[in-house]
Amino acid sequence: MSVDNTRPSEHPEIAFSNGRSYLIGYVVTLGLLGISLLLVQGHAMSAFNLMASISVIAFLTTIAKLYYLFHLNFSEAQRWNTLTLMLNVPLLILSIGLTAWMFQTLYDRVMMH
Amino acid sequence: MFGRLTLSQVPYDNLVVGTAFIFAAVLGLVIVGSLTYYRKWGWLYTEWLTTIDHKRIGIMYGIVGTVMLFRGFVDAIMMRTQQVMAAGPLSHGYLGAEHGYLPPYHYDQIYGSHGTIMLIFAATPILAGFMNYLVPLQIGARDMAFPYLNALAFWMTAVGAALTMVSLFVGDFSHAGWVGLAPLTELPYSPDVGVDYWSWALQIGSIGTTIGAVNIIATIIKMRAPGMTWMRMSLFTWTSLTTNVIGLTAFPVLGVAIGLLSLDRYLGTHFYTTGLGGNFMLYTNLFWIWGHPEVYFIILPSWGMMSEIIPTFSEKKLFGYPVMVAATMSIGCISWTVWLHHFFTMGAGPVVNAFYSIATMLVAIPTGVKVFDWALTMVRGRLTFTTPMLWAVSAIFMQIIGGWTGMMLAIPAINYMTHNSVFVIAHFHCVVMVTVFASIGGATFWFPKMFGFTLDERSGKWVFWLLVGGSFIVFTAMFMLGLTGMPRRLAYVPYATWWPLLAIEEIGIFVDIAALAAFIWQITVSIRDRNSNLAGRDPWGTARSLEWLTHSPVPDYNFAVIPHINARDEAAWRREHHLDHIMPTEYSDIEMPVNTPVPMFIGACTAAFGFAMIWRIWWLAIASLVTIFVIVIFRSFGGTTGTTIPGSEVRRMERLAARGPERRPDRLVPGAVTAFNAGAAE
Repeated sequence: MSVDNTRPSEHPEIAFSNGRSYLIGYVVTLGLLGISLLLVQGHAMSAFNLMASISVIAFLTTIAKLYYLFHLNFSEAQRWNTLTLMLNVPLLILSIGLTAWMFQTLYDRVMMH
Repeated sequence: MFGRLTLSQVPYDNLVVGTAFIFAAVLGLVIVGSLTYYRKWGWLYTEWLTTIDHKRIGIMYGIVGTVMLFRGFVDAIMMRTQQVMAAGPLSHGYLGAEHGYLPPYHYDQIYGSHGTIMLIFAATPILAGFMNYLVPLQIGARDMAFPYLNALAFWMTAVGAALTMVSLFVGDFSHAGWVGLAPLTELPYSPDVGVDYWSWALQIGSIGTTIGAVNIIATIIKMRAPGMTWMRMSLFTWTSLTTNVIGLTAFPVLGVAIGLLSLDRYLGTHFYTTGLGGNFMLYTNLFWIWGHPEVYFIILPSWGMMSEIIPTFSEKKLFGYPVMVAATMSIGCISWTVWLHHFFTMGAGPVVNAFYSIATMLVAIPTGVKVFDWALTMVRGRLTFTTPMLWAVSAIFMQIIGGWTGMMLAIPAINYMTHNSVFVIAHFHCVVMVTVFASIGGATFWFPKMFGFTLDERSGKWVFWLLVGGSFIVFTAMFMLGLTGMPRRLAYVPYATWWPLLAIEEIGIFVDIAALAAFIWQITVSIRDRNSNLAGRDPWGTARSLEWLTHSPVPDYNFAVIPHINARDEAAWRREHHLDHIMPTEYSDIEMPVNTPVPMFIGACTAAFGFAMIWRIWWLAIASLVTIFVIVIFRSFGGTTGTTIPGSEVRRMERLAARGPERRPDRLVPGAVTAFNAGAAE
């Protein structure tokens, strides 16, 4: 997929961009972050549940940003960008999952119960 | 106005730092003086500082890396000397130190800066320089995918290195080691600016590495010449690809780890504190999630260089190329699953330790495959032991020693005994010595390609034997000390019985100093006799990959005509088919990027920003950031970013290059020497 460099408006990332999706993305992510802030400020639930719900909200925010701000989808132009991002998913699972595992065993062994 | 910066922060009463300052000042005066005397400022600005040519950026990376290598080496000499002088309770003290000549606080900064400099500002830039220089040449491209971004990456790295250098004369450096032991790096325990110097230098340098990685990955994927299929790429390009995938994925983790530490220090958050919900082991964990991929980032391109050098001087193709590629890729993948082996003694459960132990041992499989591949490449080859070949072969030996001791350390039971001992230090120094040996070998190998004349072989062999001998002396003694139980990072060595081995290490480092002198002599002799050692396209006569098809030094446009690839080792294939001395009948225009000073200005603003954040000069930090944004926006409206070299000019340059020591082209072929396509030949 070659793009003529003299006409930047034909680049897929320019062609995909439009004010409406940026605005939607901005509002949605701001709203999600606001919800998490209110939850923490109001001590709305127990610590563990807070952690879980904030994780879910963070995941939703990430998806919203990728979709509305980066325009990642499975169309012809964006397929490579989406795929390369997906290649990072195993790394996320590895680093976060293994970290959670090791710290869980660590806490069992060294923290007061 | 100036934040925490006062005149009392300049350590002018410290003799050691004062000596370093005098040396640096004299050297700086010599450089500035000679540039002025020979009226080279304009040339320096237009040809080098504003360049976005990948070859010049690669050479500048190499220069920055070599300067920092020298500084890190001086740190190493100081540490060895301190330990040999401070062994046992009866050892004397000088210059205000209780034992030896360095007070503990100063010694701590030296091992911190040694590690930071050698890994982040010496090894990484030198390898980035090789990758920058060679990757476009080896895939037959005119330049990088993003030349402007390439220059920006270089200046970010240079700014990180510069901040580390400034810390020598203004304020202190981190005393918490290069890994930054939390919570020692927290504000209550490190109230001065040392840790800030370390964190901002690391942060800015890692930005440079990350965007450089983006660039090289894009270049390899999108800019390959016609016919350059994946399985025809030379192995150095493959290792560069893997290394930069590691760089792109791992370095952001470092950014986050250091960023959270900075939040702790600047805003009073509690990520890595011991109380208030913080967890200082989380820092260690995040740091090594980056740190272990990073050490493979440093080793992989070295293996790539060895895989280029060994076939060249064995006059055979690389044994087991597909397996070698697979091994490279699998090492890149495994690098993400082994980081806990840096802190086995943290206290995680036995199952966790066993998992990481096994994952670490898995690395030995692809590495062993590589060693056997190199060995079998040499079997029944026509070996010529030039200096690059000597370096490559000695790197294999170092690799085996480093790998074996690594496998020992991968066993948690052994690790509990040797953790934080100098055995670990000796192990990873043996492995990074692979990088040093391969890089010197690679530098000797590609020097004629970069500068148009070969390095002196005779003095090069002196450098080789002195450096290899010195390294083996130092690290053999260090292994023994480690198994005797000597902890790392000691400013004062409590047992006088360790003195003999420390003295042997000191002898070894003096042999290394002799190697450095021989190296300076080698460079001097080579430059003096350059006219009798001019290089043609292929000064070695047996080189195999694509970059040996163009002139030495490489012209701005790399290849007069975009090459067409017919085989895996294109240069060797051409030689076999007697196609290495043909001329094209006509030349077409070539599009080239235009030099721009913008990356340098952004680098200067970043340096100001880093300095301001370190000393908490808020107005300067904000001003620098705003300036960077303004520059970027201003450039986005800028005019031309490309220029065209007309075909007639290309013809003139090619004729000039052919007047050198190269063999005369013996026939004209439509297309070109490089564009010869076996499939289209009649």
